[in-house]
Amino acid sequence: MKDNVLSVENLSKRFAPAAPPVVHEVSFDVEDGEIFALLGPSGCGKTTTLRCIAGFERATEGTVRTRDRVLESPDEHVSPEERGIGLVFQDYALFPHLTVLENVAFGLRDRPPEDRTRRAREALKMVGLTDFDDRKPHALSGGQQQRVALARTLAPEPELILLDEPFSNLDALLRQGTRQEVRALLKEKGMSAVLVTHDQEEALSFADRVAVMRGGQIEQIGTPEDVYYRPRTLFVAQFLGRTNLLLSDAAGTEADTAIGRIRLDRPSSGTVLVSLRPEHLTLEPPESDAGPRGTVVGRAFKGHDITYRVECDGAEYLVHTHNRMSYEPGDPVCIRPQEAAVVLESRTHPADVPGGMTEAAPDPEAAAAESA
Amino acid sequence: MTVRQVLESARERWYVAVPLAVVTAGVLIPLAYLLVRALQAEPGQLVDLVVRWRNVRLLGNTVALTAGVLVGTTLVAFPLAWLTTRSNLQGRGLLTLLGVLPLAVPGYVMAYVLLATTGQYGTLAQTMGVVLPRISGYEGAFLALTLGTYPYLYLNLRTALLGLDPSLEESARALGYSRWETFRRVILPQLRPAFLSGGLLIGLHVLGDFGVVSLMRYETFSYALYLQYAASYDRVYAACLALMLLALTGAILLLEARLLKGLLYHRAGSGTTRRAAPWSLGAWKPAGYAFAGTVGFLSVGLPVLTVGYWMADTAATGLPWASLGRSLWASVSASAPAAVLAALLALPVAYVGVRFPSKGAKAVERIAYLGYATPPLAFALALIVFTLGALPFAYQTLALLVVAYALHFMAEAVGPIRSALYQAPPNLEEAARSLGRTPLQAFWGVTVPLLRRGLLVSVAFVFLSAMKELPLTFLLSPIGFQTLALDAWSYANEAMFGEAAPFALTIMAFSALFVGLLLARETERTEQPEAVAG
Amino acid sequence: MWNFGEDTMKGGLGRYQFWCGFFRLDPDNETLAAPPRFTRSDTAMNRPWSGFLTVLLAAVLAVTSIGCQQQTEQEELVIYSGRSKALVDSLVEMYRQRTERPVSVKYGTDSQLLAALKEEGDQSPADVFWANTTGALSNAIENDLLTTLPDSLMNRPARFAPASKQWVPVTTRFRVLAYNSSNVDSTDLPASVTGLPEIDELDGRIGWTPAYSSFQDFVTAVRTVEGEDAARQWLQGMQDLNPKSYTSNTPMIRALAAGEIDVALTNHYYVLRLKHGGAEGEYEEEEGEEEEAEEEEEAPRRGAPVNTYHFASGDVGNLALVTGAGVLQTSDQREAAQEFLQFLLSPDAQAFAASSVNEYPVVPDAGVQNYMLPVDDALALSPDFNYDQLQEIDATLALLRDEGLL
Repeated sequence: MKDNVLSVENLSKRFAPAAPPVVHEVSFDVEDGEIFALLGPSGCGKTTTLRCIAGFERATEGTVRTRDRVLESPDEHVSPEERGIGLVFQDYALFPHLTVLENVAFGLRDRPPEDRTRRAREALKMVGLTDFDDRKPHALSGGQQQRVALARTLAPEPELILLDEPFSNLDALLRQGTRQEVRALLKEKGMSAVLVTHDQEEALSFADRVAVMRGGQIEQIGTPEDVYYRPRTLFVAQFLGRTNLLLSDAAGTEADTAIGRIRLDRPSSGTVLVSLRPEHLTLEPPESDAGPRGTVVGRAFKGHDITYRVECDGAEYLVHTHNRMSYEPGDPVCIRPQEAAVVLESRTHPADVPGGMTEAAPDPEAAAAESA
Repeated sequence: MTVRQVLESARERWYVAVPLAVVTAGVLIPLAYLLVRALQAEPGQLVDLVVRWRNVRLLGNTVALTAGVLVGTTLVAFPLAWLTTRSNLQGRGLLTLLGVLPLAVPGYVMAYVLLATTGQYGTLAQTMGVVLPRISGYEGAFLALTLGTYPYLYLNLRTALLGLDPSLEESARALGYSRWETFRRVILPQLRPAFLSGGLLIGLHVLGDFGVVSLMRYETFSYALYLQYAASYDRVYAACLALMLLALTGAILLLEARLLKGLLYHRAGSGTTRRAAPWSLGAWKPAGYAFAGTVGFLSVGLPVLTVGYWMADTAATGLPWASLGRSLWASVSASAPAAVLAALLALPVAYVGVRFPSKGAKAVERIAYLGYATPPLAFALALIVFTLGALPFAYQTLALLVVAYALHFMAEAVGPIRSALYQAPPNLEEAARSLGRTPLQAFWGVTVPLLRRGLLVSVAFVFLSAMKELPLTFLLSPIGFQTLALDAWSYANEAMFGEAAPFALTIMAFSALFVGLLLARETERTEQPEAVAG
Repeated sequence: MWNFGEDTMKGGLGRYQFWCGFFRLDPDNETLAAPPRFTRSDTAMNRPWSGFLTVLLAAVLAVTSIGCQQQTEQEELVIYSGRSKALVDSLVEMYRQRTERPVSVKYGTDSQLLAALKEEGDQSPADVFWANTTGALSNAIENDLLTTLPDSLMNRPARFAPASKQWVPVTTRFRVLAYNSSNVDSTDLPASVTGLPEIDELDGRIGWTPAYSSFQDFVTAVRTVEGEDAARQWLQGMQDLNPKSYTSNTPMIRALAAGEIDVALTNHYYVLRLKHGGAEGEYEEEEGEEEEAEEEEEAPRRGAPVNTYHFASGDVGNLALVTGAGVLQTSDQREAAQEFLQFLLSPDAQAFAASSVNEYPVVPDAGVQNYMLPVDDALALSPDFNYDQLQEIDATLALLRDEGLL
């Protein structure tokens, strides 16, 4: 067995014996120095999984290991304080009665006092927060509080830190920058981390690997590119961003669709659902090909690229093109895939799925409502 | 959760489980005692004694008095709370102290004072020539109890009013509601938990009160109960009456639980919300002062003046300093540790109720209130039987008295801690544990400091009650142990008001001093973050 | 560590050891004493809070250490006193000075102490039970709590010694009718208390204390002297006059002084205390003057003029209420206890009771305050009957309950 920093096997959690599982047979490993993301809409079980890893929930079944040490199993429960796992909360959970420095030094009590203060100052410096040592948390801005929370978790130098939606309380502008800083910091320190988020952009840009969860189960694990470009299921394809879904009649590595014959990423046969990201499509003038024609119905100029909405055979498709390709609404066009289409596992009955584009669901509530 | 998991979590949080077990046992022992005694009754005699028209009358009287005092305290406490938190009256700090001090006045002193003030030969008639009808019966009991217990409601309402988020009111105003409508439809509903928890303490206090009702000649259950013990030396019938009283208490607790259902939420935010701008009273300002002044005078000034008047004669011949000092020390040495212990016991009770709100947790919390409502005489007798049976070396020790006070008055300590807990986010403890703290360390290091204010109020409440306590002290104190309350009561009971007065005044003065110090600390601390946030 | 023997239970030592151990054994305390190390760091982290805890802890420990002080070496005499501190404290102090024997007193009401004695059973630390009423003493005998006393003790009192010989009378008080002399003419008052219900003018102006032990003793005496039916008729007749019920005599006498009622069935000393104050009066060795209490001319300090009315000599309305004390079965120092009772019957102690709480001595050679009746006159007031019959309190309670008074 590999001595991974974290290894979760067949983890299940029910809150009552008769209740449906909130987490169902979840398994994944986190390698040394890896940043791993659990991505999914709210209610998908990702936070419960995180709390089982941290030790705040008891797993109903399955095991959680770090290296060769079992942290959680039906017979074993290591209490949170003995796990040596750091945790950053969504609302930071800073101790309101302690100053910034005291907060950061809180996890360092086993060290001699001088060392403790020095370590805490270092951690604060690491997150770029000096000169606030004696402030109380409520006198800080949201971004500053977030940094204190991070410094507090980093100070004892745990091998693994868990991040529970740590960026969601920051405003959009701050969020992106902070994300990159934190990632750089973790990489620099060689720390392993598990991030829980419902924001696909955050997961894709922050993590080395992403597990997409739905209904208590992991649907797919892979690198950000993997899960984005090669989603295994309809849910993953939709949740990670806008995509075009096509019902196609497959034969081998090719299939007939409403936009013509396309290449598939793997051999298949019969009626299958395939996904094509908008940026994998391009538009061509109609005369260049004999395939089905569409009509441009919408155009959104975004500076570096342009997004077209194209109607073809009664369905609408999204196409991202570079900004030198210029069509106006009403222009006849052909839609041309530049990459092989991804064949999705038919979890959902194909008849339920409308052809054409679908939006990613960045809003977890909407996603939950949809899946319900 | 399976039984195993319950046991496991009980072991992990032994610092919660152990006090809970102590509390539960401490309250159930007297209940068991009463049941055993009641079962000794001869059935025929029992039926004769329990099924009586007189008991129906007692029930009616008890309910009428309880309801009356609840209304009365609301009429006093609510305007006072509003004036001291939301109006632009000056000297609100002083007024706040006035709202607490009546707790330092023993009920029987208040009753004696009211009796002595009114009437053709009352002090009022003698000093100012104003003859008011001598107050007694329902009106007397109502007035004395209202003036003595409104602080329980006042302090709850005050905290709730201070914690209200002004933006709720502002949005209601923005949605087109008038001030009055906003008050009725937005503010009042949010005050309901405060009304209920203050009202519960007051209700239970009235149910158990003996001193006031006996002096005012108003017959309630606890009055009849006391007479049984006093007149006939009859433990059995008294136990039956005590159980009837407890059944009534149980009904009140159920009613409160039902009314409270779904009313308690964790407050969002860190508690550093801004304060609402004070309402300008304008031309009503003098009326505001008059109201606060009248309440303060009746509940604090009048007892102090009257007792001082009684003392005038004795003071001339010299005060019994030595015995005052001895009794003061005795009172404090029992009340102070009891107050701390009660707060420590109430802490896990409130903690479990707020953090793990299950039926079991609610039950434990209710049990604490049941202990408060158990007639102290029965409580004391049960503890005598229990300690002599199980811990004979503890009998008639100060430790036993301290534990008895703590168990009996713990209910007063639960409320303030509970409201403080609602403002301490639960994940702080998880954060502490992820940083290597055990559950107990996380609890002590993180949650308890945040409850400081609630703990202080709890300690103050129990201290004040313990300073005035009589029946438990009579029966459980070490031999030769004389508290101020015992002294004041025994002299007053023999009609020696001059001799009783120094002791009564010392109770009031020392309690006021203690509470003043605690509250000064409290305001000092709470002003700080507000200054930063503002 | 603990010695569960009877001796330590009685003496101070065993109890206080437990008290010492109490807080030390409490594991929570460790955390109290030593808050998480972190809070004591050099950065003065969280000092105010730990400061507060420290203060509380110090308070607790201070109390504990006081409790731990060993109380006494010598076996102390433990008195359970239903009599109030006003009388007992000074007498016990006097006794302590004379004998240098440590004495401690537990105060309570008769009923509280009786209940405690019964629940304590043979583990009671008490040596002497000193009660306010013969009812309580009789109840103690019924429950087999008292020991038989030697004749040397029983022969001391001039009157009222019980046939059971299980307690000695210490003082006596008398039932009287107190009245407001500006509203009631004493010549209109009946010669016997049994005539009181016939005075219709007193409708709504009478005060009584049906729940109070001395009133119940009085009703028992009426039942004994006049018969069961007469007692019931008297109660019914009284109730037709709409009397006001008080829990005890003090509030009733104050109600009388306040003009709320005009006559009150009470005990003699309440009137004296109202008029002459309480315990502060020093005892003066003056022979009784001829002045009768009811003719007292001194104006009351405040309130209505309250005076004492005695019914005709031998009337049950003048019933003597005897207070007494006995030695308990649980006592392991009965001799010392008897010695204490002997002291209570000494002329000094008897005179002190008269001066401090205005009660009458039971030994012939003690003096009383000048405003009190001479002892011999007072003793003649009370009817002559077997005082052991006052034990029959249950029938009285049943009667009072029947009549809706309890």
